[in-house]
Amino acid sequence: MRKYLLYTLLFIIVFSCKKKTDEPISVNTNNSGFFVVNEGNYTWGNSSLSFFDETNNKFHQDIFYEANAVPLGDVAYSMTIHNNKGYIVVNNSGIIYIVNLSDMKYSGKITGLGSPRQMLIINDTLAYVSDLYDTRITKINLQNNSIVGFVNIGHTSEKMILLNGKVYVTTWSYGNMVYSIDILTDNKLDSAIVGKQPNSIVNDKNNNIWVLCDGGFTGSSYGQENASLWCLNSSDLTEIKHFTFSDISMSPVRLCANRAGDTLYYINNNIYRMSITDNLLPNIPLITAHSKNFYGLAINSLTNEIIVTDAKNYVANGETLIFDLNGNLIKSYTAGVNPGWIEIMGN
Amino acid sequence: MIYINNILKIFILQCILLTFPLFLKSQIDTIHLKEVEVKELYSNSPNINKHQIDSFRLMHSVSANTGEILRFESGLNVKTFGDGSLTTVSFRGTDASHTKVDWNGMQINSAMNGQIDFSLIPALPYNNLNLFYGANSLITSSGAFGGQVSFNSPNFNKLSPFIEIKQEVGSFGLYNSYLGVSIGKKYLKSITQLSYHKSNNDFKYFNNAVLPTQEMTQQSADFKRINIFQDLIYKKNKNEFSLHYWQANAERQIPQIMTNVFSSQHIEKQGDKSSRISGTWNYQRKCFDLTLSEGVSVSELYYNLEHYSGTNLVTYINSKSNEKSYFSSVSTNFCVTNNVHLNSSIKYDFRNVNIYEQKSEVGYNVKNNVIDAMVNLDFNKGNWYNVTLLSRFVKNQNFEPAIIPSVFFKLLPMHDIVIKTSLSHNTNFPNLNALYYIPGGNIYLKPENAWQSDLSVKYQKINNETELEFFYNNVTNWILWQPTQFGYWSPNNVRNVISKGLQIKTMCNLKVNKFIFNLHGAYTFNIAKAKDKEFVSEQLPYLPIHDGTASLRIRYLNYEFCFDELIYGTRLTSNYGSYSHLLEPLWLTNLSIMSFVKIIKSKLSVEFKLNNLFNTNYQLILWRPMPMRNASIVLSFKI
Repeated sequence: MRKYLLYTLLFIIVFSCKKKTDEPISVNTNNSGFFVVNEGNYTWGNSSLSFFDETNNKFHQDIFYEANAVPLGDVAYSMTIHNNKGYIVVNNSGIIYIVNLSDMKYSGKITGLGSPRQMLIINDTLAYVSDLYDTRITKINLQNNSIVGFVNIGHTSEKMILLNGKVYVTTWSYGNMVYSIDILTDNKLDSAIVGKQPNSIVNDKNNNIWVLCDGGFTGSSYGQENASLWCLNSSDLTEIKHFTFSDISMSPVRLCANRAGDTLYYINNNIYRMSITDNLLPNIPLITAHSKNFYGLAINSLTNEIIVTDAKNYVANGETLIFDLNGNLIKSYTAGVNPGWIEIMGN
Repeated sequence: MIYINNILKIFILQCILLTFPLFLKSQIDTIHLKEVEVKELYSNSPNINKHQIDSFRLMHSVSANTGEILRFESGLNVKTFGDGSLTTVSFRGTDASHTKVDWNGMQINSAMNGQIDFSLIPALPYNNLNLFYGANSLITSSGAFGGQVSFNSPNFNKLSPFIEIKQEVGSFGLYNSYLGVSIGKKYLKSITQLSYHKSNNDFKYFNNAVLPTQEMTQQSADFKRINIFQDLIYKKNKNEFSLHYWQANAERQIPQIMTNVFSSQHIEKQGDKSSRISGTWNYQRKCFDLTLSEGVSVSELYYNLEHYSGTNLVTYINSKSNEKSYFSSVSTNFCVTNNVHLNSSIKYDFRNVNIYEQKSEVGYNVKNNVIDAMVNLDFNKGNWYNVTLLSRFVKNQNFEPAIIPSVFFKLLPMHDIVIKTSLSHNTNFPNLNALYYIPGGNIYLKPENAWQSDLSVKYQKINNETELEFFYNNVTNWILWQPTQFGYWSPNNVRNVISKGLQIKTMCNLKVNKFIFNLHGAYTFNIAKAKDKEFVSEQLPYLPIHDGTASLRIRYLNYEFCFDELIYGTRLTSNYGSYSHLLEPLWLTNLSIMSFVKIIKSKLSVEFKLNNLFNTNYQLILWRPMPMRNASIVLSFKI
């Protein structure tokens, strides 16, 4: 009888379990470097935030988790820096996390969002947030981090820039429009029809607006056309010129401009560079992709470097590559999954 | 360190389980295992290794889903998003779409994604549930790289008139009901089973995936489902006619993952309806057996995802799909000589799928025809070894025909020991979503291929039984859905998986005075390495290298105590070692106590169940919380 009692006892003892507790660790950004927002995969909750500490030449693969011991969320899409705060837009989590830039500690959140994409700071008290599904831009009060209203534009919104008291916004998902909005009245002022799916927007030194359209994709119910690059007059959104990409399979993304506003960069499989005065799209890439899958792009005007991310196969860990302005690779680091948005401190 | 501790615990547990039968020799009392009859559409070759699910769990189920029952079987990886949510079952490191499921011989996997949601299949006390691992599945179907789950209606001979009512009430608004009525005696018998399952599913959990971390209540996770089974069986002389009907309706809300709880109000709903009917005629003579079956199935699924933005309702996805199928089969068994049996079958399967997403206005409407023929020869030479040669020929209208050969050996070197081994090639055709889904469908997909082999050694005595199995699967052209540059996912034949390991299952009974002990244990060691071109995953996501279960049941007079233990090793949650969080080793304990009284011919019982005894905060899918300690009471009455 004892044997069986012993077995029963052992059976129960083996049940005991151990819990792992994660604690945050101290981090210091030295207020110098750049962030890479790793989107992760939709509904997997594997977003992360990488940081390159320029002072110590050190790359942190997930500085948000290091500082807070909590995952960033589901599809972190973009980041905005304002007043020593970092605003990280986590698209499918419907949240914007606010962190102190110096130590990356959590300092607040903006909740109740549907599918936020980009946060644009209007001033110290107001920000706009674009949305992938809502046809309204959400207005945020930065003093109390709450939703204070909406700007109805009648279409979903993607990238935004602020120029001379107007917000210029693209309608990427199943759209082909650019709108301008008066920040004082929230009224829609002008609109322009551009190519299908305008995914990025920048302004140049002449205060003209440049819009890059990827043209959609094969099988889309919205249809597909050749990708295009548009130059618009910022005062009334009239067309100055536009370029059409030669092959329908081309899907250019991530239009950037240098600080001087005279040179444009974008990804079209490879990295291309063109002057705002060019009358043709460039044929020769500045940086050839080879086997890489370029996904994110930014120009660091402080260091005169080109920062590029490689998303590999969109599931594996990506890579962050730093090139000089002539396209020579300087260094590279392993990032998280789908490294997309690059936010440079002080740029 | 945690990992080592886990190994140690598993090792200790296995030592206990494996040495336990040794002590049985000293026992005088023996307990004869309850004999359970199983009805089969196809008579199995004796060389095919078939695993029958522990009938105790089915008998004690009120409205548990089949996934919950299968969690206790070795070699299976049951992934559940939560109670009432999607539950899939994978065998031996394969995909959920490599698990084929049939109901009375009719395959019920969705033609759209090749899978089945086991949370929608109730585990009812009088149905039979069998598993065919690896190559053994070829006796019933092709494409089951992992294995086959076979549901069959109750056996004619087993049925006797009864009425049984069960009612369960538990935590988080759990409310389960079961009614079973069996009538008929000599030639015609009928059994009707009805189950209803409802839960608010609003449990508390600790959310460590948001800032600040905090205790939260699961929101929008309620579900309800109702299932009706009706079986009519007529048997006279050499003929048996049976008619089976299964109606299933389910509605559920799908909660946010833990990282997303602060978004705008989230409404995600899914509804499933299906009606299945099948009829079978079986004619049996001494050396000849003929079975004809026909079946029809109609199912409907809607999925809706919306968010409130302020007071504005924004629709993200609104999709509806319908699937109609027709199935027909003929099978024969014939004795060529005393030692040689010839079995053959031919099946025809027709599917029509119509799927439409209203928001983006895309969908597809596709018909598909498959013919699957099988012939096998059993050579039963003497008492100590048998050989089966089996081949299938499968023609899917969209692909070249596939010929699937296999060979099975059975050895009986000693009276108590049975050794079985098998080797086969297998082919699985792409499902319709993989081919036609918009966006992302890839009409250039090729069929998946696999080499499957296993070796099992079974030691069997009256009161104890232990089976050890080794397995090796090599799957090529595995279809993997991967993200594209446009944001949607698309399938490609990029994956090659080698999955190998062993599984142990043991069971023993003993009686000490008025105590009856029953111990079940299962352990699986499984390494599954995947290579997707240059990207390598040393272990597939969510597949633990080590996992095990143990159950101890003690019966004393009119009382029954049951301890259930579920043990999972560390689980990766991403491919290629890419950034993601691990799921730490997990130990769960469930406890139940039952008391019953018999009054003349009726039996009244009351059972108290306590799940997650040690109140563990855990997830089986990353960021999908599971309930902490919870309880229920079951009242049963059978006459």
